[in-house]
Amino acid sequence: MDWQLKNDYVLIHCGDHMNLACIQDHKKILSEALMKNKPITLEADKINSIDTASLQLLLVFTQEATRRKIQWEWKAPSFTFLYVANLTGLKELLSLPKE
Amino acid sequence: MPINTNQFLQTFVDESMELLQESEKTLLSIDIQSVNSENINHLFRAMHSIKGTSAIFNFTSINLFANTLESFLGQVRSNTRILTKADIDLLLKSVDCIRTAIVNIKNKNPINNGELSELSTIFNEKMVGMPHAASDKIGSLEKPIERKTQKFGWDITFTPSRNSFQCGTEPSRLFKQLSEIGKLSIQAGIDQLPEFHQLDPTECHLNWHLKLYTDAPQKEVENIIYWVEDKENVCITPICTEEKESPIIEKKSTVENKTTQKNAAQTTSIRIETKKIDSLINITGELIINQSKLNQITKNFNGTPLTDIYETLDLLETHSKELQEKVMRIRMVPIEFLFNRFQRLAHDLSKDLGKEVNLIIAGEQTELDKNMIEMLSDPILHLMRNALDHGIELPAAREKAKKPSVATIWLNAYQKGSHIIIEMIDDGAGLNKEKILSKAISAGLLKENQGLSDDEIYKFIFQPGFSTAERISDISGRGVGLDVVYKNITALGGKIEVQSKMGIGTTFRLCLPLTLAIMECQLIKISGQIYIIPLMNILEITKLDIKQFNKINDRTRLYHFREQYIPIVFLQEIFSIPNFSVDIEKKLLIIMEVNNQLIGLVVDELLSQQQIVIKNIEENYEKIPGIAGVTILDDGKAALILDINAILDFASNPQLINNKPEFSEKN
Amino acid sequence: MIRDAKPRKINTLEESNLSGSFQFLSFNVAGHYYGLDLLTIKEVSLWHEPTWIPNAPDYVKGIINIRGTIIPIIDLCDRFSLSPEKYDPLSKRIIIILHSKSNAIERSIGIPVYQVPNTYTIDYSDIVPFTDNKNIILKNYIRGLVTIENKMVMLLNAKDLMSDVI
Repeated sequence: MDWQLKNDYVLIHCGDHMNLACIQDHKKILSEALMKNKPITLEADKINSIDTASLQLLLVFTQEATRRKIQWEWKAPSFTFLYVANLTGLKELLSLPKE
Repeated sequence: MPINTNQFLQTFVDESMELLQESEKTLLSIDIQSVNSENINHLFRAMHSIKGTSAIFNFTSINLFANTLESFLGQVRSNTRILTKADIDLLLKSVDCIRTAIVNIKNKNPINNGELSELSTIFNEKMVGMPHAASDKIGSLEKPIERKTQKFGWDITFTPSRNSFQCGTEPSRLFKQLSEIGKLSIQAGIDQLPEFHQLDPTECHLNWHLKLYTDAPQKEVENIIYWVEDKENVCITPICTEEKESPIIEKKSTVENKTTQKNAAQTTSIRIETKKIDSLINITGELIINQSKLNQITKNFNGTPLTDIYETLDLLETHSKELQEKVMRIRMVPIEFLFNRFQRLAHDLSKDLGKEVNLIIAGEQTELDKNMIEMLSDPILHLMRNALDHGIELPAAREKAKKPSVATIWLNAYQKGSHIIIEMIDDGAGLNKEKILSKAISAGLLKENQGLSDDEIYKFIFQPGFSTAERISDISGRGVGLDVVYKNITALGGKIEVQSKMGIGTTFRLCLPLTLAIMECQLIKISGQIYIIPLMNILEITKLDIKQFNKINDRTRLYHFREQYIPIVFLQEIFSIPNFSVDIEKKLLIIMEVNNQLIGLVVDELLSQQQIVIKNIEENYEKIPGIAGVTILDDGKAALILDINAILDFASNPQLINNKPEFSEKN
Repeated sequence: MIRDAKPRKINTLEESNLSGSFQFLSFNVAGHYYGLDLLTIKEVSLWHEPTWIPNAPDYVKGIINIRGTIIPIIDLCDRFSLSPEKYDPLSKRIIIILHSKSNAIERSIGIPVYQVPNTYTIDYSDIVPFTDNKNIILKNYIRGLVTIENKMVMLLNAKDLMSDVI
């Protein structure tokens, strides 16, 4: 996972594996992205595997962005991402698209 | 953690394969005329097991198929169905089918559901015709636990503890499995979620409320939850009424993870007796003691005599070697894994060829290194195909030759000193010496009338491209087989011999070196020296009764033992041990059997029985006639293992004694 | 130290053409001093009582186990037909383990010795030929003689000793 500062928004690339092993790193990256105070796009097309802990982190992150009135959106969430989010009942809470 | 069922998957694959192997063996041994109920029970339990475990891993097609087979077998068991030969063949086919599916699972390939459902349909059609068909519910063996009032499903609340993720609990996996047995509706509770900056991402602050709409009984749901680390945080209660629908998760039929797993590499595994592991643990304990001893010595080094260090180092090396041996022992598995496959082959092939064959297996407990067993599979397979295709005659031909119409193939394995012998003997037509000779001559391998012995002539069949088969079947006869067999066996460091008699049969004998030769044996004492006798040769041990002792002449003595007169030998004579008198007072007699002959060995004392490792004396010395090998006793001393075969020879040919080996003759 | 790694038939004349130093182990058997090239010695082991083996020449006293390997014991007294040694219970018995490698196969034999051996370093030029022809067996094994501390040491060819039994 990493983030890039574009002209007027922050682009976060979610990596291909999101799991407990790298979750502390991920939290740091998300935290840095938040501090930019710019709209955030989360690009999730590469996610090949993701666990519940990572979903929890993303959920708390998006909630925090909302609380701070920072606009955020998903870009191309992968099938796996949608599938696991659905399985854990978090798809709606993450505002992921229905299809 | 990402969805990872790999570690359990291997266990599932192993256990299922074993169950299938045993089922196959049972099926092949069933006698239609008098069906043994224990066999049917065995099959029933096997299918029941596979049904259960496949459900845990969401292999629905296997689960349903096993369920069907279980029902079918249930009918047989309750005597509402009589098993026919066609049924057995169908069941054998089913075993194959499940086996293929499991191999696919192991290789992460998709399961071909087509054949499974085809067979399933056949069984179902059979059962439909039967009244009182066995119940389809699981738990027909067990008392039903589900309450009759429950019809709609289960209400499940799941509140993982904070450190649940770190304990390996992955909720998405659990939910996936539940979704496979019914319609799952999930609600996640986020009331406990902290703020972003306060969040420790490794802790679980979520909880869930699930509704599983299914017919499955509580036990099945519990089976799934069993794998969860903190299953005590799961609460299951039955649902009796329809509730407001929440997003429903549909049953997904693809089971395989699309996610790339780091460990995509194939793992093979070995099942090990726990006592082998125990002895490993013991020896590592000893190693650790030695190590700390050395540590201590070097720490307090103030001119400690070097001998202490040398002795400890010595011990260390001994133990390390022992550890190595014990680890190698783990790789030794009984050859029955190999032999059992051949029962099936013999059955199928003989059917295809229209021949009747009975395969008799002996010595299946003989142990071999796992590697070697795998490498023997092809060669022995080919030998058997050859025997079935060319050796064994059609029933009509056999009857004409006044042989029983059912042919026999014997597959034997036994240990001989530091070698393993595997024999395949058939009572078929035997090798045709003339044909082989003429083929060899026409192939230019031989000049006319070279005057070869039978054995030498037979050896030609191992030449590449050699085949005297009149027709080439796709089974064998292409002449590309036996030379490959020869090469394979030689590559393993072994030898292959063939003996044959026209009209009587053929014997192929493989002689393979053992990487590690272990044997159960009896320690005895003769003239103050300890010797080892293989336990498998020992028939009985008795006190020497002078009354039964008959001296015929200087060399030959017979002992009256159970209606027989058996020859008695004194090791001291065979080995020319000096200062020995034929005093038979207070001696013991060990009655041994070798090559169906009995022989008695006079010993002074009987010591312990134990398992020993056979060491080769030829590493640094010559082969000693009468000695099969050497072993190391507990006190570190070397002890000689007697070669009972040779001793029998000495007893019959006393002139062989006192023939000292010539040292000019090397290897 | 010059080391000729190839195994070769020792010709004492050739030897005297070599220069450089040579290390050997000197030990006493039946009152005579013998020496063996240090390179041929695998180790000096504590005494193991050999297990008797049948139908062996009289100089093969039996076999012992050294850390899992079975090694035959060759008694030099018997091999060279020397008058037997008196065994002094107070002296320390040891076994000298010789080894040689051919075609990557290592083979070993053991020689019982009743006194602790010594190591010496000499020059190849110190070695003189052995001319005593009385002991016909012995002369087949001797590379040459050297004098150390006023004692005559007969340098033996380990390979010849080993080829007796292997």
